[in-house]
Formats: sequence, C-alpha cells, structure tokens
Amino acid sequence: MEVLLEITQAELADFIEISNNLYGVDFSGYAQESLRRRVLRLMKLKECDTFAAFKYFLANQKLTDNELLNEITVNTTEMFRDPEVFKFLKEEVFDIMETYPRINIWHAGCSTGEEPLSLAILLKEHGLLKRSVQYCTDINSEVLAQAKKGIYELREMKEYSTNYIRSGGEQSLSDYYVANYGNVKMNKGLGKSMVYTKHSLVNGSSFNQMHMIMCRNVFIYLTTEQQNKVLRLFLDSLSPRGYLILGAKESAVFSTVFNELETVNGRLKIYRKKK
Amino acid sequence: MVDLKYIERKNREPIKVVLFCGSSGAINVLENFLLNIEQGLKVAIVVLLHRKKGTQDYLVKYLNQKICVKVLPVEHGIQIEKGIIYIIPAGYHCIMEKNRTLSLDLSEKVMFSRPSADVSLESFSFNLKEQLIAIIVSGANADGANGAKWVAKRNGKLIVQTPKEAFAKTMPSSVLEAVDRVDHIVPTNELYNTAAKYF
Repeated sequence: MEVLLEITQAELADFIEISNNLYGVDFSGYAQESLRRRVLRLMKLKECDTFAAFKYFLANQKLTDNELLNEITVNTTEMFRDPEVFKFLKEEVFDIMETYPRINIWHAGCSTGEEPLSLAILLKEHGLLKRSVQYCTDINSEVLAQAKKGIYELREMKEYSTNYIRSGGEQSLSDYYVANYGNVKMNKGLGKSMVYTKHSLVNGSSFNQMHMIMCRNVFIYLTTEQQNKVLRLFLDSLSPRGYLILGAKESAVFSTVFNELETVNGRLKIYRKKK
Repeated sequence: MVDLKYIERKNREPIKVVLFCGSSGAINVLENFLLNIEQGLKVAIVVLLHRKKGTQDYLVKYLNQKICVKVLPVEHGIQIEKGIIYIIPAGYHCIMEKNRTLSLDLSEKVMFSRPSADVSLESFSFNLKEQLIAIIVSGANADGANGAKWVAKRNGKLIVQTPKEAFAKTMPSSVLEAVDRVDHIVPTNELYNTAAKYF
C-alpha cells in the first residue's frame, strides 16, 4: 500500500515562505486547498515522504524557479472552451467592437494560448483581426513560449472542431492549421495580432486601456482577497464600457468591486464596466 | 453584496455533508437515492458523477423538477448549506476550503476523471473529518479507492453499494479492497436509509 502523504496548515505556510524567500515565487495569494493539493502532488512526484524531506529538497535548490511554478500552478486550457461564451461574443459583442478603430484585448493568464487563438479565429471571420491587438500574459514564461510556437496535439482537434462549430465558426477549424507528426501548427496569420509578455496578476500593474479582458479559470486558484485585488486591477485597465469575461463557474458577485460592474450575461459570466 | 456576518455565523455551525460518488450506471442509483429525501433535509448533499462536459447542466434542471429540495450546480466559492443538493459540474475537480466553501480546480485528471472522487474525498475528509458521509456506487474504474482510504483514516463514514447490485462493480469493489473496514455495504434501496441514520 502506498504511503498516505499529509501536510498541515502550518507546513503549508512554511512552504509559502520558502518558495518566496528561496525561489522568489509568491504563492501567498493562492487558494489554500488547491495549493495544499498541488504541494502534495509535487511531494509525491519528488518522492518526499515527509514535509521535512520536502523542505530539505527545496532548501537545497533542487528545482529551478520555473519548475516550481510549473508544478504548482495549473495550466489546463483548451480552444473554444464553453462554446456558448464565444457564440455570445460573436453575436452580441463583436458588433459593438466593430465601431472601434482599434481593439485592445487582454488575455490574463493565457497559459499555452489556446484561448487567444480561438478568439483570433472568430475575430478574423468577423473582419476584426487586423485592427485587434491581443495581449497574452501569464506568470509562467514556459507556457508563453509554447503559446508563441502555436503547436498543439492533433488528438485534441476533434473536440475543438466540434466546439468551434458550436461557437458559431463559419468555416472548418482545419482551415486554420497544418497537421503533421501527430501535431498541428496554427496558421501564422492568427498570431500576428498577439503580444506575449510575462505578467503576474499577484503583483503586476495595469499596462494599457483594454476593451475586453478575458481571464477564465484563474480566479479559482486565488484567495478572495487576491481576487478582489485582481478585479481592481482589471477595472483600472478596462476602458469605459469595456468587457470582462470570467470562467463559466466563477463569479464576480462576491467581490467588493461588483457594484462597478454591470452584468451582461450572468450565466456566461460576461460583465461590463459601468463607465 | 453578500452578508458576511451571516456567512460567518453559518461557518460556525457544524454541518454534515454527504458526498455521493459514482460513474457508469450511477445515475439511476442517484435518482433512487435522492427521491427518498423529504423537506427539511438536515445535511448538505454533494453529487460527484463522471460525465461528459458541456455548459448546459441538464442534470440540475432534471433533478430540480423531481426533488423537493433545492438542487444547485457548484460554482466556485459557493458556501455549503444544509438542505441543499449540489451537483459538481463536469470537467472540474471539486475541493473544500477551510471555511466550508467549495472550490473548483482544473488540474490534471486523476484516474482519467475530472471530477475525480479521489480528489474530492481526500479534500472533503481533510476539512470535515468525521462530519463526512461518503457514498460510493456503481462505476467502471477504481477512482474513489484512494480517497476512501483518507475518509476511513479521518473517521468519516463510508457507505458502499453492494458490488453485485451495481451496474459496473469496479468502483465499489475497489473501495472494499483498498479499505480494511467500511461502515456499511448495502443494496441500492437501502443506501438512503443507511446514510440517514447519521443525519
């Protein structure tokens, strides 16, 4: 029978301190339970049976900063996740965006870049891609490097194609990539509108006026206080009447800045800055 | 705005939580189980089923029509309350925070599943200890066996569907193999009454 690993709250606090001091990675704004699970997973991966052994392992700098970040943060993402959201954007929001001379979009926590690409495809079909700039940021520079490459696994494409059609896509998703060696490479044209930068939502600041911010499934890893701080940052970065899109199971209702937002579609978690 | 004082008061009340885990062939068992519920349910019930993901949650709609207590989909940060049934959305792990709110998590699948019973059983038992009543029914893989070890270790209650009554017996029988002693092994029709003893 395998060992049942366990860590206490105090040990978790210890981990946060060690990673901050030795690796310069700040996990203090991360939701406790999720962090506890990730630390346990990493301990198991590195074959540390006790927290003391794990601490020794960390203290001797057996990981690089990026490895630590990679193992603890979650980078799961996919193209056209929740097609209804994209369909709504295409049908209701793009017409408003069309009146703008230039469109700034921020993908906060873009991970490996599937979501910016999904949006780029729909923008292209609406004739808006050329005047859009999509700022794709993440705290993890490794996933950004992957996003820049635009190479994904072919076996995922079947599901993505279905979701692309359900998002109101007008062509075939295969028009946008070349498949080879079990992978796909997304067309270069789509990436022209993207700017990739490393940016931390925990201690980063606002860098431009955005017409739309997509930050889906990032809040689920943050504490309530941190969520409020990030929402404040988003409100400061949004232009008047700019859109904010959160993950399908997240909500801004609980936040302290909720009164500054207007709900466009509560079920799809699409909000708009009041002014 | 949410009344924070109200939430704080709620947090202090001890609450028992039933975590119902199943996979292939579990939907009928779930319905059978939930139809026994009467108004004034004294516990919270969280339902974890392996399902195909999609935005529309038909299960929530369906159960809301059938059952006399409120059925809600789990959203991130939702405060768990007694008398309500929560359905974990497909495609997310569900974990419990210290203050009894539920969090969702998109980390990699465990036992090829998201939501995974192993993840939820471990996290719920960590925060609820003996207040957790775990029910494991029909399913075609061993997800839940590892989680059940944690429930047993932290003195939660374990109720398992009799494997030979299950549509797919792997899930209940792997729990029986993994854990030295479960609290009850009962046929489908007795699951609710057995759990209700602890309410």
